[in-house]
This record gives sequence, C-alpha cells and structure tokens, in this order.
Amino acid sequence: MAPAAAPEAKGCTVSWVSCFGFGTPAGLMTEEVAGRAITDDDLRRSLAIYNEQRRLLRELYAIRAEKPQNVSAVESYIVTRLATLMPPEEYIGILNDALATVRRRNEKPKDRIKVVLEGSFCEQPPIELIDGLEAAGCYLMDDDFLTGWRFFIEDIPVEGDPVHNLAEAYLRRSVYSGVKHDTRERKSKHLIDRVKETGAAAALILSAKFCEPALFDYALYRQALEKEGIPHLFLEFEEKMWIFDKARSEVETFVESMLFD
Amino acid sequence: MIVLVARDEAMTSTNHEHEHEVNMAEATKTEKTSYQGQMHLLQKEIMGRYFDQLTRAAEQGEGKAAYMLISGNPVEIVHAFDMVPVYPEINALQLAVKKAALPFIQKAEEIGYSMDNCAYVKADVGLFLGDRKTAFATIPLPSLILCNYVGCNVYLQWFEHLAEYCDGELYNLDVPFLRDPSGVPSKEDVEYVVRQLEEVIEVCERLTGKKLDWAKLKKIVAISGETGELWSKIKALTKHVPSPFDNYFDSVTMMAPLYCLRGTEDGLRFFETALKEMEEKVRLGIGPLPEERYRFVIEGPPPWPYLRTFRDMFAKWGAVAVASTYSTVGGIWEFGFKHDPNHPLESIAQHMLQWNVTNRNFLQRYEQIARYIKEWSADALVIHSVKSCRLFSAGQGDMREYFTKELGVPTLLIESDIEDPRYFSEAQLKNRIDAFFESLEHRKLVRDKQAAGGNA
Repeated sequence: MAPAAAPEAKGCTVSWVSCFGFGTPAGLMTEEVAGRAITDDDLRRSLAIYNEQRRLLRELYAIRAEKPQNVSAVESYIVTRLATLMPPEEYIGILNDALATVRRRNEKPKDRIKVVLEGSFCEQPPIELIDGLEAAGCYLMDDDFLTGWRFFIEDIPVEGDPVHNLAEAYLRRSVYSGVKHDTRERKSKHLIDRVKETGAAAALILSAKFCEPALFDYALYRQALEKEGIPHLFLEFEEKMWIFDKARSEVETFVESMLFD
Repeated sequence: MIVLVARDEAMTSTNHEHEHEVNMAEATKTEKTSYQGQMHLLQKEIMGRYFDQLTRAAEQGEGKAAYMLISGNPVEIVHAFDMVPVYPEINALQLAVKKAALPFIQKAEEIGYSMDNCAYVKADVGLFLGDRKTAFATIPLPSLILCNYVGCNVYLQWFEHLAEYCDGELYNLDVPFLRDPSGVPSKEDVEYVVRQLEEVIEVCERLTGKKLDWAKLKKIVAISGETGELWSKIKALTKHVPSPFDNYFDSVTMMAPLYCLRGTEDGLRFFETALKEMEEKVRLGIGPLPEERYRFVIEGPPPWPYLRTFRDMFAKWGAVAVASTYSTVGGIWEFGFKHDPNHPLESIAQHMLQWNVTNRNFLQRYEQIARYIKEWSADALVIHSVKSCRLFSAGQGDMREYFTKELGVPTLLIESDIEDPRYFSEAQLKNRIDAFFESLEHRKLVRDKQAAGGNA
C-alpha cells in the first residue's frame, strides 16, 4: 500500500476498498485509519482533485490519439504511472508540465502502423516491452494500462451526495473492464469503437500470461475483429519477463505484413 | 454418468443388457476391479430420464431451459416454474467421461479460446456452437442463462459468452464471498442475495408467463431439505470401517441427482434408496473393495476422461476415499445445513453464501479437510490438482505443506485435468501413487511390528 498520504486525498479510494473488503460501514474504516471523522466536504474536495487529475490524463491520451508522434507510449506510461506514487496535489503539477512540453512538440509522423492496445488492465507489462512495441513499428493510439487510475470517463459531480455520485459513476460512467461484468453491451464493442474512433489500422491484444479474464475476452475480441475485418495480433507477456526478442519480432512481422500487403 | 458393472441380480431392465455385456467383457479382458451397486443402476436410470427431458425440450420445445452452474444454485426456483434445469458443467463432464470432449475443446481453441482457459468452458462452447447433439442428450438452447456466481469467476465469463452466442436472457446472480472470519454471512449479504432471488423470480414469471406458486416452491424447498439430510446421513456412513462406498468415486456418481433433481420426488427417492443400500452394506461390513487397507481424504475434482483408470490406481492398494471436498462442490450438507421451507428464499441464499466450497476461504478448506481426516479416521490426504481450474488448484502446494508439516498427515500432490484428455500422464501418475502407498505400506509394517513387540 502507498505510504501515509494526506487523509483527504486517499479517503475515497480506501473507503471503497473497505466497503467491499470488510463488510463494515465504509466511513468507519476510513475514519479509523485517518484518526478523525471524514465529512462529505472532505469527500467533495477529494472528488474534485481526482477529477482534475483524470481530466488531465484524458487530455494526455487525447493528444496521443491525435498526434502520436509527439508523445511516445513509454513517456505516456511513465507519466501516468507517477500518479500511483504520489498524492494528486504533487502529481498534478508534474502532469501539467508534461502536457505543456508535449503541446510544444512538432514531430514528423514516422512510417508506423496505428494500433489500439487492449488486455493489460491489471498486471503491467515491462517498459522495455512497451518500448519494443513502438520500436517495432507501432503507434499505440490507446491502451488500457493503469485503468484504475483512469477509471471514470468524465468528472464526478461534487454537488450533492458524494458517495452516491461516486457509486453512480462506477455504474454509469466508468471504462470497460472484462471483470466488471457489465452485460449491457457486447464485450467487444468498446474495442471496435475505439479502433474506429482513433483511425487505428489494427488491434494489439497484449495480455498477461495465464490471465483467465483477458484470455476469455480475447476469444470474443478475435471473433468480433475478424467479423469487422480488423487485423489484430495477440501477444502474451509476464510482468517479470526479461527477454523481449520473440515479442518484438512477432510485432515486426505483423507490422511488415500490414505495411507491405 | 459413468456406467459401472453391476452384479447379475441387479440386471432388471433390457435397456442395460447390452452395456452390461460390454462391461462384463471388458472386465474379464482387462481384469479391472468391478464396482457393484444398485445405487449406480438407479442413478443411471433417473439421470437417463433427466437427459431425456433435455432432449424433449431441445427437439420438441417441451419446457423452457434455464442454464445454471453447480456451485450453490437456486434450482428450487427453476423447478417451481417447471423450467428445465441445464448444467453446462455436467454436459462437459459427460462428454469427458464418454471420451468425446477433445474435438469440442479443439473447436473452441480454433475460434480463439486459449490453451490456458478452463477446458469445461471450451468443451461446452464447442458443443454449444454446433448442433448440441451428444450421445446422452440434445442440449436445448437457454431461455434463461442464470449465472449463480458463487466464487468461481470463470462462471461469469462462461455464461457471458453463451449469452453472446444466443438469444437467452442472462442474469448474473452475485453471491458475495464469505469473507467474515466467523464463517457466517452478514444479514446484509443474505438480504442482498434474497433481493436478487426475487428478481430472478420476476424474470422467470416473465419468461414462462406464470406467477410463482409459493406453496409449490415451499414444497420443493422442503424436499430439498429432506434430500440434503439424506445425503449428509449417507456421507456419515463412510466413517464406518470398512467404508460402505467410496466417498469420492461413488459420491461423484451420487451427486448428479443432488444437483439435477434436488427438490423433485425422483431425487428424494434416489437418496432414500441409496441410504438404505449403504446402511445394508454397513450392517454386512462390506465395502467397494475386497479389502480396505487405506482410508484417504481427497481434495480436488477428478480426471473425468480417465475416471476408471484413476480409480483403479487407488483400488490396487486397497485404498478407499472416505471423504472428499469435490463431492461438496454443490453444497456442504454434512455439517448440518438443511433447506428450510418456512424461509425458502433465505435458506436458498444461506446455502449459496455459506455452504459452498468455492465461496469459502482457503483456511476454511483446511478446516473442512482436517475435520474429515479426524472424524472419518483417514490415513492420508490426496490432493488432485487440475490445470483447468485455478480456483481449486491455487494454494494446493501450501496445502500439502500444511498437512504434512503442521498436522503430520501423509499427503500426496498429483496433477492432471478435469476435462482435457491431453493432460493425463498415466505412467507418471501411477508411479507417484504407487510410491506414496508403498511408503504408507512400509509405515504400516513398521507400526505393526512395533505393536507386536518388535519381533522380526
């Protein structure tokens, strides 16, 4: 768990964990940890600051989708992952600086294929692997890395009951996850939509070895991608892997077949 | 389920004669142990009737099918609406037992399912996407896909996939994990499950066009209660020495009616018959083997494609299973749970929450096994790990450590698969099992010598 951070900042997340994990009223558990009562205003302040963090991350991803040549997937990943290591009050400044830097760039697009990446929603692939995917000839227009930190697609309202608003956001305004078991739409829909929205030429399904939910999702993704005529590549990784040649050459072969067919 | 050889006098129906001949021929040719029992024949008969019901639903549109999973399900509600309960797990294991699973598994792998996905699901999906005709039944398409999520996350994926492949209505019945250290679900959790059961009733009313007959449901739940109680009495009989039946290999046969026919008169009569037969065996002091030399507890599902072969590996040593965790996969009845017709939905919820092996934590599994070893006087623990099922297999290495080092129970850990015939390595398993029982044999000799005063 992260070291003791400002109680207000961590309150929201911790209370949900305890709500699901321990069966005691969410507030009580958090208050024990924080050493004081948590008020609705505390929660509203927390919602507001995480809203801002998420909005800035969405902007980062929007820049990637529009001009992938200006920010690499590795840079984007590292900047995003910093969010997991510090409270938002510190992080937002860094994120703003990063965004300003990226907006000043004006790189020429390289001859790479645009892909949407899916399947790494839990275990995180090593940075060398992400780097290898790009170097092998891909622009990653979108990915599902660190979805927990990008979980809500728009701001959570701060007026009214903050716990109710947070619950509603989980139900109605959160991103796709294979383990969310939202049966309101087909599991492959978000992937097909994303490929079309970003103008990607292909999908790259990158899942952790033995990850049963990702492997099950892949069976449906593959059928849907084939139906839509969208080429795709399926790769497995392990968090602790250290040999990347095989994955890299598979992607290179895939890219070549896309560029030269 | 498995066709087991019966004694001559049990042959009453001509339907069985051909199979009987085949099995007798096999028995003499291969010299495998024959397992006798009226119970096995009766099981085959009523399960045959159950599968015929599925075929009639599929081919003549008789009745609406409700798909469910084995671990903690509300089959009582399905029966109350005269819907046809269908269990993809049972269909999958039937395919494995009849050595027909592999082509379906491969079909699923061809369309994108992984080598590492649960083979039950692959076999079922392969079957589902074809004409759904098998040697034992034609499987009807579902009107209701009722995913009773009681700890196995694969269940959720499985039924979500089936829902994408057909027009059946999916309902995810979310049963919270039993997470309080006391081992008792909270009032809120029970209410949460009861509210969902009420929603399930609404869905069934809509699909069948009938209102729920509460009196009928209560009657069904009462029969479930009686049936569960008979099952717990049957399981207690294996405390006797010798055990009247094998509480793994015979129990997995007996449990089919417990899930498919729980709440029906057919099911109740089966267990009444089974109890009588087993009590008689206790009176006569007979068991499934000529001599009971070892009593073991076994954890984990069986290798369905090689059930008989696996059984023979233990029978050879005079080893009889006196308790098993897998025979409680649809419910633990031996420690006192009984469905209560006066609180039908609450007790169905209780059963799902509290009395299912997959909804309980690992320490509770240790307690369950330790209790079996002690109360059923077992000499050893066998852990059968399966590639398909991480839910069952995760932590079994630690389990072996705990039982050997902390409790001093000789423990064997072996591995194959529930459904995929490619993962059964007969020679290797035989060697491991033989080595284990040889060492137990040696221990026994040493103990007997010491007991006799150490005379050579």
